[in-house]
Amino acid sequence: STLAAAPFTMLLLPGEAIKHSSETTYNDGSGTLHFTNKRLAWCRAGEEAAAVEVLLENFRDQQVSKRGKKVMLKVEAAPPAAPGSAAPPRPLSYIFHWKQEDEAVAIAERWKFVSELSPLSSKGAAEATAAGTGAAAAPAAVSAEYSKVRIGAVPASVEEVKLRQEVLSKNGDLAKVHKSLVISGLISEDEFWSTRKHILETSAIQSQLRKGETSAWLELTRMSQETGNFKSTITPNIARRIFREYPQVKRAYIDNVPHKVGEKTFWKRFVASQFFNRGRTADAYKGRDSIFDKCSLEEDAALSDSREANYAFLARLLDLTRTEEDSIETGNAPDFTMRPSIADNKLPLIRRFNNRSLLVLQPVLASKRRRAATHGAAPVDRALADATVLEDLELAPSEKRVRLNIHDRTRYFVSLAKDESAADARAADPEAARAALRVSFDIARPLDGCGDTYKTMTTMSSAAHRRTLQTRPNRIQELHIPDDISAAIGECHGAGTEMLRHLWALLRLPQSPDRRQKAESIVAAFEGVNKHIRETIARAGAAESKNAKLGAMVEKMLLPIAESLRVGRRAFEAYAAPRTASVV
Amino acid sequence: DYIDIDDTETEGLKGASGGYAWEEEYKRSWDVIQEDASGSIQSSVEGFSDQLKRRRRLRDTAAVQRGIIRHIVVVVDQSESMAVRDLVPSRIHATLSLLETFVSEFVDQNPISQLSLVATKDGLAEALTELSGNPMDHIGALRDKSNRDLAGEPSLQNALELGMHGLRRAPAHGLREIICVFGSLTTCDPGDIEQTLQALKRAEVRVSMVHLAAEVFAFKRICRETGGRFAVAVDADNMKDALMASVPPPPLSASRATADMVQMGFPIKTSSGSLPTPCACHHQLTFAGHICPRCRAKVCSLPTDCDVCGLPLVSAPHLARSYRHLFPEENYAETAAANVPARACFGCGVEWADGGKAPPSPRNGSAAAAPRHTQTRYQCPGCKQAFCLECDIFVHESLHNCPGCV
Repeated sequence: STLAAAPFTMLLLPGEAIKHSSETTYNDGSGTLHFTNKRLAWCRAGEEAAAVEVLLENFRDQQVSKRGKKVMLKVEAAPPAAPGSAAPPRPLSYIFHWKQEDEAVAIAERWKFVSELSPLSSKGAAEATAAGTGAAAAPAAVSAEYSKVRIGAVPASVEEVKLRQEVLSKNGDLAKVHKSLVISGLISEDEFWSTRKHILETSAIQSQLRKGETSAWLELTRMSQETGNFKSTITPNIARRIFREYPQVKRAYIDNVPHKVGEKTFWKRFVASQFFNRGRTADAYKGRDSIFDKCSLEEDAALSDSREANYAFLARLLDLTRTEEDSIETGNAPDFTMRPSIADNKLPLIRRFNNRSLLVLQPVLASKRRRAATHGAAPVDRALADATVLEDLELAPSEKRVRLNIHDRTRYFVSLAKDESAADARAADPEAARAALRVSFDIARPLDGCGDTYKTMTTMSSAAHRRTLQTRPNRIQELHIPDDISAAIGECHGAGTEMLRHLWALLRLPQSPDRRQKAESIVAAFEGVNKHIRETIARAGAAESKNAKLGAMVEKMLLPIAESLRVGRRAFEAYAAPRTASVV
Repeated sequence: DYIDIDDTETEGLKGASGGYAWEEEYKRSWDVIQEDASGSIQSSVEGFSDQLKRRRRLRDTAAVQRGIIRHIVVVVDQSESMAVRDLVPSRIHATLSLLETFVSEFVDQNPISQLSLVATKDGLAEALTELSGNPMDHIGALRDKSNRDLAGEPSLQNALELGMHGLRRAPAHGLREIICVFGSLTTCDPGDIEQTLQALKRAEVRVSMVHLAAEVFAFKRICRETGGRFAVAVDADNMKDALMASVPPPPLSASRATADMVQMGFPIKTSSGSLPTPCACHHQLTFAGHICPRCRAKVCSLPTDCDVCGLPLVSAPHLARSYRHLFPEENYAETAAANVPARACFGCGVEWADGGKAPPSPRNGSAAAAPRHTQTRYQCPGCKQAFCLECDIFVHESLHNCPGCV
């Protein structure tokens, strides 16, 4: 949302973008006031360097001049503290004066700056969530941090640590692994998370999602209680929607809160005012209210304004799918019933609905207009042509498919077994094939003529016995491994697996000197794990336990991890070996 | 004069009490079967078999390249519009139980593909599970009671962004898809969904949607532009058909087809007899497992990606199940009775009923015991055997091998 050409250009800081500019006077010199994403700056006419500059961090407060007098804005800023001074610096103030001839235009220009600055002022910060101009919603407090976090930065930033905590609290399995590896001191926190970045990223993206503005009509219902009083709930969310819908209320809020009226009183008066209670029964409101009567006058003035609408972005397309039934009185001709000034009392309501639709579609409209502005006339013609295409009347386009070219399909189903003696089953009549399987038996004596059932029964029962033995639940406890030994086994395995995971992740990436170095250091660390393994085996051999063969058993249990480490080392050596000319 | 649409007779839509069918509060499912004058329900039953016939005609059995390695994100709408009770017991319950069936079917037919779940409510989106090929993770998340809580409006843009981010981890040779089940007619987005659409097209993600209420232009446009399918479910059966249509691997379009070599591991199943060893995925002692061929780590179940070195691990039956989509059985041709000499159906062995005689005893008591006096046999072009309609459907939908050709 930058202006196409600022009236006077200004030297910009890196990464700065101008949001608003307008001609103002400062200290009786004319120039341009710019509001950017980093500061508020004023340049004298013709100059490029800013004569007055207030960084947004230093901005403290603003005040507007009363109506009827000159259109002025006073900005207070705290200068950066001079080093070595004990007393707090006095705030600086700057007064800008809009001298445009048309007062409405001047007020509108000033309002642009006021609305941008109001959430930034120190008093406004507390009410930022209520009167906020940003689009962030309730999770904003949490998501704002994660949007800037760079995952993987070493040492980890504060936000990343918080993100890690969140992920661990949500994911039980990961927390267990984390506990066994990091809390026990085997691996540092950073190393643990370096191979699990994707989990952190998903969590960060999820917390960054912003909630959009709902387009539902704002229902400000009141609940009447038994004592005859009315109760309304105004949450910051609802307050934001009220400000969006009725900008006059927002203006009144900024003008009056907190210097003149407290926030609670403001809302109490709002609910009690006639502005809020239009259209309801007469006993609801309590009479005149200075703030809100002005609001309703402003709104009526804005809505009854029979100025011409803005025809710059009117789509001049005829709706081809419209039929005569849609509009019986007028048919396809322009609607003569919609001319303004014929029925004045209906107009404000219609205008309110239209304004509301404009508000809902704003994000989309802005980008569409930007696109239209940059691309010129050709897309408009294309848009007109596209509008004449009725989708329901078109054939669905058939996608081009790729034929599967396989030379000999039967090869996929040939088994490697050499048993080709399966007879050509196609020749057989199904009846004959089934006849071979037919078994006739007497239902009264089913086992007659079945052969040696006893042998079958013993085979089956011994197989079942073996199976139950294999799956009995306490097999691991029966091995009687002492707790410290089993903890040591877990540690060896955990440390070894983590290191291998790092190593394989590095080996998959293309070679580079520092990757090679990292891989080397990992392989060197294997030695530590191997030592740990040997120690554990020695300890197991010397330990007292019900199991006599503990040492040999533990050695066998740790064999796989030792094997994996060996394989990893060999892979690293192949990776790091100097490339010969024949290897591609 | 003017023709008023409202005046034209639309008897088909009228419900029992003379109003429209959608005005009815109770759905009278028994009205579907009508008795004719003699009290038999013959004609309704034939209506069913006609439906079956129609389905078999629509089967796609061309031998084309298909995307077998798929990574899909399923988006579930958890907004307040899912509390409507037009599907029993409510839309959200019906959707979640159907998705359980979908997940198991999907993992069964696409064993080397991966799936993840995203839910959207109250203007935000949340990832319920990560991309994985293990159905129990997803079914556990679907059965979680807290997923029945509904709030606010859904946000399609946030859900698509989150889904796209999750799919970024998927390798380039796989197909990326997002399948949405939506019940809400609105979406509450923070920005312009056009940008998301462009991003989806750039990332070559295909978005399909099953909508439970009506056709929404914005959703349909997204599905059409990314090359996916948009369907509106009229009732529960329709929803199931629409969702299950996404289970078989889709054909690749000519622009996307690239032939890549994919490295995969075929681990050996090992059981260490009497000694347990730790596994790499859960860090627990187990007795049996599969050893990754590259890094020798033990994993508990297949198919999965090795936890240590990241190699996709599959077993031969999984690949064979995937191949089955590439070599589908050819559709049987309808022939008249005269061309076929056999007395009985080759598949089930039940004799043909000639000239209108009902078979002596129905095979089962269901409505499918209609006499086969329809006189059409279905002939396999390979082995030239004749099959009845039920066997045809069974062979093509469950068995996937012709009994005569094998």
